[in-house]
Parts: sequence; structure tokens; C-alpha cells
Amino acid sequence: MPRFPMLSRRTCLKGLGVSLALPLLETMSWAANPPSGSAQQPTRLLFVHWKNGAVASRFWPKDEKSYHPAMALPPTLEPLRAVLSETLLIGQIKNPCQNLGEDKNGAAGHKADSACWLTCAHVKKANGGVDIGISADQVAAEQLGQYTVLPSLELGLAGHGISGIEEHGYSKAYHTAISYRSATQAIQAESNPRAALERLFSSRRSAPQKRGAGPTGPKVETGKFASAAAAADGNAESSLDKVMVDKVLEHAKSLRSHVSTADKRTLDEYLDGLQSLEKRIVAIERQQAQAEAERSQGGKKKVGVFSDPIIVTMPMDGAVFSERFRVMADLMILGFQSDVTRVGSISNFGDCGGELGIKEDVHQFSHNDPNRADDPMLIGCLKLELLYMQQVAYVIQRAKDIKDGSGSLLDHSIFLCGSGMGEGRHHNNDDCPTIVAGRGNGTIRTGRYLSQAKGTQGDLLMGILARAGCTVPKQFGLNGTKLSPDLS
Amino acid sequence: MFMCVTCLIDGRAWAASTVAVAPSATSLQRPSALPADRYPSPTGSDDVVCRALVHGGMSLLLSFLMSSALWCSERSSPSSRDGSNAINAVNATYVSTIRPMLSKYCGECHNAEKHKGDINLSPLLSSAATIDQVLNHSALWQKVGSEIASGEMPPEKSKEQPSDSERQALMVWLKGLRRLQTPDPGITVMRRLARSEYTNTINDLFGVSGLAAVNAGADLAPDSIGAGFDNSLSPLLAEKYLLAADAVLDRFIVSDQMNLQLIPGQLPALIAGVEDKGKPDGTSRLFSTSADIITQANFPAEGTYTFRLKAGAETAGGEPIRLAIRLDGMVVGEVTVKAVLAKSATYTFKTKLDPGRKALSVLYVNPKAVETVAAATKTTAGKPATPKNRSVVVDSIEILGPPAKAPSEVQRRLFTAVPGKGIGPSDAARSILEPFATRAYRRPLRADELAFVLSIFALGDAQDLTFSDSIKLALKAILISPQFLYRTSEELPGEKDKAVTPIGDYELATRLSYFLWGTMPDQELFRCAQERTLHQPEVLSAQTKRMLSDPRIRHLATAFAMPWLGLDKLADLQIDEKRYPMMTKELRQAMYDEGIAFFLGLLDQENLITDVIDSDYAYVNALTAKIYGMTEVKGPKMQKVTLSDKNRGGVITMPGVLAVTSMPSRTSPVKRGKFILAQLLDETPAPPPADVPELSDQNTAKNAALTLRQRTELHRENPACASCHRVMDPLGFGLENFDAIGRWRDRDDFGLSVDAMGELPGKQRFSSPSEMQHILMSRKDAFVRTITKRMMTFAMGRQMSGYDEVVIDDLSDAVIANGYHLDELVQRIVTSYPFLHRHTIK
Repeated sequence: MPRFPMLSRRTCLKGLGVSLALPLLETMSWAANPPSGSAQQPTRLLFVHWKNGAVASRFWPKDEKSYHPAMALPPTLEPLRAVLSETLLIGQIKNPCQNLGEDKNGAAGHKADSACWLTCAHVKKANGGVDIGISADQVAAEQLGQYTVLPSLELGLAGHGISGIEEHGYSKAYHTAISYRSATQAIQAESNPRAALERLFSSRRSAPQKRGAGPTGPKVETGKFASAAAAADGNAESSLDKVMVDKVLEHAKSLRSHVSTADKRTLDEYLDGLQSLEKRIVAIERQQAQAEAERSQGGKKKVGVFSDPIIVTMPMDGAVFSERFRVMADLMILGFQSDVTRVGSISNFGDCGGELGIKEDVHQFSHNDPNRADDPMLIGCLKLELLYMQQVAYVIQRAKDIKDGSGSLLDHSIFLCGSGMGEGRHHNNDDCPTIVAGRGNGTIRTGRYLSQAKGTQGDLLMGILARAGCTVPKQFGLNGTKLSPDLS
Repeated sequence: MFMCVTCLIDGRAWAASTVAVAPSATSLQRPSALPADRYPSPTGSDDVVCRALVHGGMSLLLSFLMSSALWCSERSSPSSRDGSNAINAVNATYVSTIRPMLSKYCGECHNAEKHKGDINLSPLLSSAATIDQVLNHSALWQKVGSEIASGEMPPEKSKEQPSDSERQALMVWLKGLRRLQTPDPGITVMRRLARSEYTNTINDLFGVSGLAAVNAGADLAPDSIGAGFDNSLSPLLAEKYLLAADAVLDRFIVSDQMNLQLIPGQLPALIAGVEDKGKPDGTSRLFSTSADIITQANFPAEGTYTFRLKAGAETAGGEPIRLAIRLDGMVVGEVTVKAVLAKSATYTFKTKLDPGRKALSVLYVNPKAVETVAAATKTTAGKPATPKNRSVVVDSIEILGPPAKAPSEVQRRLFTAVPGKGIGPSDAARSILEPFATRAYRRPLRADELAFVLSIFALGDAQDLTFSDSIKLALKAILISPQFLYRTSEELPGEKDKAVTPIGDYELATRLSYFLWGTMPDQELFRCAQERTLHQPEVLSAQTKRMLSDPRIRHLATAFAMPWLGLDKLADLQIDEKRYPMMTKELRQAMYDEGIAFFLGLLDQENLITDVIDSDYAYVNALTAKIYGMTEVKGPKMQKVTLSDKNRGGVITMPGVLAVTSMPSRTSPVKRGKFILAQLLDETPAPPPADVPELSDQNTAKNAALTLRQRTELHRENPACASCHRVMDPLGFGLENFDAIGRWRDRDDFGLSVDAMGELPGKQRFSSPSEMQHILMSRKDAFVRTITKRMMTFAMGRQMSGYDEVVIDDLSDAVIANGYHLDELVQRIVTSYPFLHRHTIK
């Protein structure tokens, strides 16, 4: 099993430019690979979502052959040129959500964009609540997440909340969330880079430790004794917080008999959230102890096959969209690199046109007339799409540059970058722009444009999950029935 | 067909609004009134209930079955006759008026064959249909109602148009129809605290305010109270709650000074490599060569610690015996024991330490190899056993931490007892934690809940945490418990089998407090709850009145009124700074504050709820006064001024509202018109269909010569757009005299003179904002119903549906009848049937 270099506190801090407490970073260690024991690196999954589709005539190559770094590319795809051979572009993918929402007026449209992309399920009004389906990234988080400190990391660029109701009766979550832990639970993406960093490398050191052991581990020469005492205690290596949370959980379960059927579900979600927290405390402490043990055995950095941890520069106030995106992308890559998480998403770009001189709501630009080159809506829209594609190219390039054992991080990743709409002006949810990047440990054949997908969006997601080592359900969403034939 | 479904509002409601509203068609008892016996069983009768049972539909059957037991047993016979009379009246009108009308105007398109827009009215129109069958289509009726209310149907092109009085008759009949529904307070769920509620509650729980207050919810995601609230607790949120609890408690609870007494005889040790458990009776241990006492100690803070060892030794070879204290394997101090075994003495050293739990060991440093002998012991009571060699006995180890910081004021208040003379740690803990948890859970604790809280204290105590740290651990457990993060109900005796029950006094106190103040109940509300008097109408009314005049009522303005008026968007509103350089952070804040002041002003008796549409006063400070074109107002404080300008007044001409309904660099008549329709009249237009370009798309050479108005009118050439825009646009253009930050202007963003003329359906013409407001005022009752519905949604935290509509009718009628006062509305809401009841699905 490959060992990773330990992150040095200094390495990471020097890029921050601000003093930021990162107590865990100096003791960063790396999670074990899946028990299969295979020598290959774990596959990381990243989902990057932008809204409102793409103007088709400026996005899709004229044929499969012309998708080549040496050929003329459609203007919107131009930023991808440097990483084109690492990508697989798929056209004509069917998403089941088109115009099948509760309102017939193409109401799925913009709402289905975010909500249906990874769920392949319909948005429902559900009295202003959420009723959709589990998203593919969360299927992965459930399974791959058990090896890492964070099961998954959801990052967003805009701080739009998931609470509340839109004027036509749909939950706001459908607009702002691409990830759903269950049919009824949308995930709020973290939009504060500082909070995301702290979440990636948080420490529980401030919590009082339970007698028996702690993150510093038994250090007395007569360590045999101390660990024997801890084992006798039945709760080795846990902080009092962990034990306390355990007890809260146990007590909260007893509350179930006192609440209504409707509240049982709420309570179960609470229990689920708290259980994840408890697991996380344990995972962090285990990692800290492991790193400490390694260090006390004189473990030196094994530099060479792995890059040094990348440096993340925190954005200043007033940073423009592309600067903020890059910070989030860097944090995500750092999370993958340090194996703190293997599943992530970046979404919720918000009104990101500031750096292009666009102040208005970006949505309206998608309602343009592609046949009139002087249409200001079209001009704005193409600028925005180019901006999105530059970010997609950035995150792909970043992963490509990082050594990860026998190859690059990108070689051991699958990135799905796309939108849940075809073209905003049509309110359609099929023929969506779909870019797969990374070779998924040799399971994805890149450098291609497949103009006519053979599988649906559901098949695509199932195919990606399976290639990342997940057990895939027989059916996913409304149209996933098989592993996509398009990927390999 | 497409048009029929999606496009609302061509504005016949405007014309119809001048017709006087007919009195309620039924004589049913008002559920909003509070009769003498606890909470009322509301409208209807056995008859109604049984019908509702039939009409309820299969999915609701179960809950109706359960609730029917309640209703049937509580219903009295006189109202039964009213109920069946009501049904008969509804039926009679249906047969004589409604059915013929619907057949005439709607039947041609919405029949079984054509069912345009997927609407098929044939089941309602068949003369064979019984009244039961007719009532069974509540969703369809709701649709009919909203189409008629908005005036969308029949389509304009249709030759047969119902008269205003026919439309009105249908509306009145539908209102009567709604009243036949089974009263239902709506499914009640345990609500998670919203971000602002969480912050407020933490501050109240710890009794801090003003400068001492903490922004505990700062890192939580933004949310909004009301319909569609995200009630779930994600792992991310769970983590944030834990971190928030950590931060709050670190701030308020100071660790006590460490004062740990260790009796080595009780502690495990390694003696000559062999594990030796300590003895519970505290028999002290005689050290020999390789003996090592091992334990752990928690050091709460950074600082200088004093170690005191009481020991005596028997030495040999003239060399005094040395003992070393080690923490985590590092020697932190050493003492030389000169006292003899029989007369042990105390040896002291000091050392600086970092906080944390550390392994502690005491080691005999200078044994001689030849003297290696197993340890002997002495009893505390008896004489020491004679050692064969150099030996040492450690009677006790005392560790005294650095002096603790003075407890915070919060801590002094919370810690009503500390262990000491006459009170043990667990009793002291109970006297602190029980009242705290009761307030945190907002209701009396069940026995298992109290036991849980105390068990967390015991957990810390057993781990040698200081008293305050153990309390802190228990407080942390409370702050991440579902009973704190969610509003849970107290269980009342005898409610087990009932689906719908009156809520208890504690739950009422909680509902009331979160509705009006966005925080936990205060002492006074808790007192009323404890005395079980809060539900009594006069007590409830008096408490509500008290709450309305408390500064905390600001919550109703910030959490309800600001999102409703869109003023919460001001802080992040995108604006073209070049064009509007004066739109500073301070001005945005002033615009927001104006909205707050205006809404809170509505609680004064002299002001009316309809001032929202038009008023002869405004609240301004020096910054917003400039926007209003006034010069005499000074300072940052909001001041009420009388408006001489007839074109100003109400929220519609408020600079903040005008700004949030504009584009970054110009006004948007469409947005402004939509604001009036959706926020004031509850007539939200349907979303625009796909493939319709936004207005500015038409900013081409060909259209360059056109005014904004002319270009906007292009919209209306498309019939798909016309039906909404013919109401939305005139309203918006009526406000064109106000620029994108609300200043009066005579020329628009394109340099053309402003044309604020407009005509609303029903030939209602206006030529200035003032005249438009006058027309809007003719629809003030529709506005009262809108604000009633919005505030009810906020109070209940869920969407309004079904029986709620009846309640909204009643409440708004009462507000209208009693002179349009906002405090009247609040009083009506807190005494309404849904507010006082709970519907639980077992």
C-alpha cells in the first residue's frame, strides 16, 4: 500500500497569506485504501455543474473527428484545448426530466437543471419541501466515504441557501443544490473557502480527551500499561466529545417513541447527521493518532511519486468569480490529494458575470437569439459560457499536474462537468453539455467526442459510479438501467 | 391551449373589485374565536365531518378516521343543523346558478373531449352529479377559483364573457364551498430553529444581549422562515452546530482551577514490570526500584502547575532518594525525599504546561541495582512495613493548576450552586442543569431527559474534568440535542389517541415567542405556561399585546416583512456604481431601516395596514431624505415625516422597494408590476414560457428609437405574453417617475420624458403614481387577505392549503371589519384555530 507524504504545516500555510489555525495539518496522514488491497490509487469523483446549458451552435463540434487539439474547436470549447485529450465529450444524452414537472409549461426547465442533473428524477412541489431522489455523488459518498475523513465535500460559489420556497411553489433547494442525500434532503454547498478549509483539515484537539488515550497517543515508556487500561475501559482512543455525541445519539433515539410519524423522519435525518459527525470525530482522531505514530517512528517524507501538497491562496474580499472558483477547485484538489475525501462537487456559480461587466442575473442571458450575432443577450451568454469552460479547464489541468503514484491525480479521477439543461432558451433538459475528464484508473477512454450517446444520463451516472468502485443499484433515477456504454 | 394554462391575470379582478363583497354565505361558527371551553371545536358538524370523510379522498382517509372520533364526540347538536343547512345552500346555488354558468362559459372547451389545458369540468357539469361528487373535486375547484379570481378565464377572444356580478357570485359560492371542509390545523412538524432563531435563542439562553451578545449562528447557511424551510440536519450542519456550541461555551464558561488529589495507592502501577492494580481503600504504595505509578490527568489550561508530593523514604548508602514526575514520558519535575517513612513530608515543584490530557507517572530515579526488591506496603492506619532496602512511600500527589480566570458573569449567573460544603458535585450539577435544560428545551423535562443530561455531567466528572468543564460538557450535549435544535412538543395527558389536539401551554408559549420574537419564550411567558393559563383568551391577548410593544417585535419586521417586501436583498443588490454612485452601503442600510421602521409603525393604532398601499407619511433619515427630495432631515436616525408629495407613500414608492425591483442600471416596469401583483395582491404571474427573449434583448438598432414603454409593449404583441403583461406593465409604468434607486425624475433612463399613464382592465386610467395608488386602494381588501396569508404562512412555517383558506378568509374579514389594524391581525393569528392546535400523524 502506497504511503503518502505527510503534509507539513508550513507548506500549506505559506500560501495562505493569513494566519489560519490548521492544527491537524501538521499531523496529516492518509487514509487506507479500500480493503481490496489493490495497489492502484483510489478513484476520485468530482462533479462540476454550471447552469443554463450552452448555446448549441457555439458548443458542439461539427463532427467527432474535429474534436482534436490540432483542429479548430467551437468557440466555447476553446479553453479545453490544452486538456482535450484528457476529456470525453458526449452529445445527445437523454435526461428524463424534460418538461415533465408538475407544471406543463416546461417548468422542469431551469429547476430541473441543478436538481435533476445527478438525480435523474423529477422535481416535485411537495408543499414547498424537497421530493426528488438520491444523487449519484451521494451514492458514491455513502460507499467511498467510509475510507475518508470526509465522505464528500460539496462546494458552491454562491451562498444561496436551500431553505425557502420559490414563487411558483417549488423548493429553493432545486435551484441551488445538485446533491441530495436522500429523496427529501438537499445538501447545502459550502461557499466560504475558509470554512471549507477548516472542514477539510479540522482538528478535535480542543476537546477534552477521554482517559485512556488521545490523539497524542500513549507516549509513556510503559505504554503497554496505558493501552491495557484504555482497552479495559472499552473505549480506546476517543475524545469525550465522541462519547458525549454517542450518548446524545442514544438518547435521541429514545425520543422517537415520543414524536409523530412525520417527525420520526426528521429525527432520523438528525440521527443520520449526528452519526456522520461521530464517525468523523473518530476518523479525524484515528488519522491524528496514525500520523503521530508514524512521526514518532521517525517517518520521513517519501517524496518523488507524490507531489507536495498544493498551495491554496485564500481569496480577498471582493475577489471575482474566477478567483473564487480557483480557490474552491484548489481546495477540492487538496482534499483529493490528501485523501481527506474522494467525492466532491462544485456548483452554484450564482451571478458570476461581474468580471465580464455583467451585473444582471445570468439566467436571462440564456434566453437569447443565437441566430443574431449582435444580440446582446447572446454575446453575454457566450462570454459567460467561455468563463465556465475556463474554470472547467483549470480544475482538469490542476489535477493533471499532480503526481499521484504511478500517474497523475487526473488519471485516478473521473470528473463530470456539465449542465442539466441543453439550451436555456428552450427550457429543455436533454442534449445537455457533458464533459467527462480523467481516466478513472484506466476505465475511461478519453480524447473523444461521442456525438450520439448510446446511454442516458442515468446510465452515464451508473457507469461513472461503477468505475469508481461503487456497487450500483439495478436502476438509478428514472432512466438509469445499465452501465453506460459510452465511457470506455 | 398553452395560453389557457399558463397565462394569468388579464385583470378583470380589477373591475370586479369595486363590487361590494357579499357577506359570507354560511352562518357557520368562526373557528378563530375562542369560546370559553379550552380551545373550540371549530366549524361544522357531524354531518359535515361525515361528508368530509367521504370527500377527503383515500389518502386522507386514515387521518380523517382518527380525527372524526374527536370531532364527533365534541360536536354539539345545534351547529349540526347549521352544517347541513350550509351544504343545502351550497347545493341550491350550485344547481340554480353556478352549474349553468360554468356550462355556458367554460363547458365548450373544458369538456371530456377537448379538455383544453388538461382541464375537464364535465364531472362538475353533469346534471346527474350529486353534490357529494361536486364537492369531491376540491383541487379542480381551487383551480377554477384562481382562474376566475385572476380573471384569466374565459380567454379574451371568447365571445361569451360572464358579467362582473356572475364572477362575483361564483367567488362567493366558492368561499361557501371552502367552508364545508373539515377543520384541520395542518400537519404539525417539529421545526428546526432557523439561523436567526438559533442565534437569538442562544443569547437568551445565556442571558446576554447588546454588546455581550454572540452571533452563534454566523456560520450556518442562510435560510428563511416560512414555507419550504429546510428542516433537515445534514452532516455539515451537525458539525457546525457542534462547533458553534464549542465557541459559545468557550466564551461563557471558564474552567475552574485544577485541584487534583491523587492517592497513589489507588492508582495502577507497574512494579518490576508487573501490572499492579491500585487498591480502592487507598492503601499507599511503597516504591522500589522499577516501580512506576501510572495515571492520566486532564490539564484544563495553559499555565504554571504546582505539584505537591507527600512522601517519606527509607534510604541506604547515604544518597537521598529522588522521585521524578513525568507527563507523556517527559520529566517535568524532580523532588528529593529526605523525610523518613514514618514522618512523610511535602515536596513541591512548579512547571509550565500546555493544556490537554496527559499520562502521568511517578518514577523512582536512583535505585541501586543490588537493592532491587519487590515493593512492600504500609497501611494508612498501621505502621510501615520495614523495608529491606531503599524505599519510598508516596502518600499523595496534589496538582494545583494556574489560578483560573474569573468566571464570566454568565457563568456566575448559570452556576447557581458549586460543590462544596453541604452540596456534592452531582447535586450542584443538577441544580444548574435542570433549569438550563428546561429553558433550552422550552418545556418541562421528562425524567429520562433529566437523567440523560445528568449522565453527561457524570461522564465528565468520572474523567476528572473540573466541575465547570463537566458542566460545560453537559451544556454542549444539550446544545446539540434535538430537543434544543428543534421545537418539540410536550406530551399532554390523554392526547395519545387523538390526531388533532389543542397544543399545550408550553408549546403555545414557544409558538408565540418564535412567531413574534424569533426566540425562546421569556420568563413571563414561561410563567404563564407553567401556570397553564396562557391559552386563556384574556391572558393570551394580554401577552400578545405585551410582546407587540417589546423591542424584540423587530423580529417580525426582519424575518417576515423584509423578505416579503424583498428588502432583505438590498445588501447584496447588484447595482451599476457608475450610474448610481450614491448607492453606498450606508444608503442601502438606510433603505432597509426605512422598511423596518415603516412596518413597525403599522403596529401603532394611528396607522393602518393599508398604509402599505399608500400613506401620507414616511420614515427617513438624512440619506434617504435626499432620495425623497427633502433637505431638512438630518442624522442617521429614522424619523417619521409627513409627506406633502402625493406621489409618495406606502411601500410601493419606498426607495428600497423601487431599487430591488429594478435592474442594475435601469428601472424595470415589469419587475415593479410583478411586485405589486405578487406581493400585495397575491396574484403571482406564471413564469414566462421558454423561447421568449428578455426585454433588453430587443435593444437593437431597429428598436433603438423606441422608448422603454414602446419596447415593453412589443412584449404584448405576443399573445403568450399579453395576458400577464397587460396588467403587470401598466402598474410598473405607473412608477416610471422613480429611477432605479427611487428618486423622482421627469426623464427616463434613455433621456426621454416619462410617461406614467396607464390603463388597467376595466378602463381604470391613471396618469401619476398617486392616481395608480388610488386605484390600488380600491383593492385594499384583497391586499388584507394577501398579508393575512403571508403572515399566517410565516407563523405556521408551512404553506397554506385546504382549510387554511377558510381561516384566512375569516381573519382578513375580521381585520377589515375592525378597521385595518396590524395588531388586530397578529391577535387574530395567535388565536386562530391552526395556531392553537396540532395535527399529529401517529
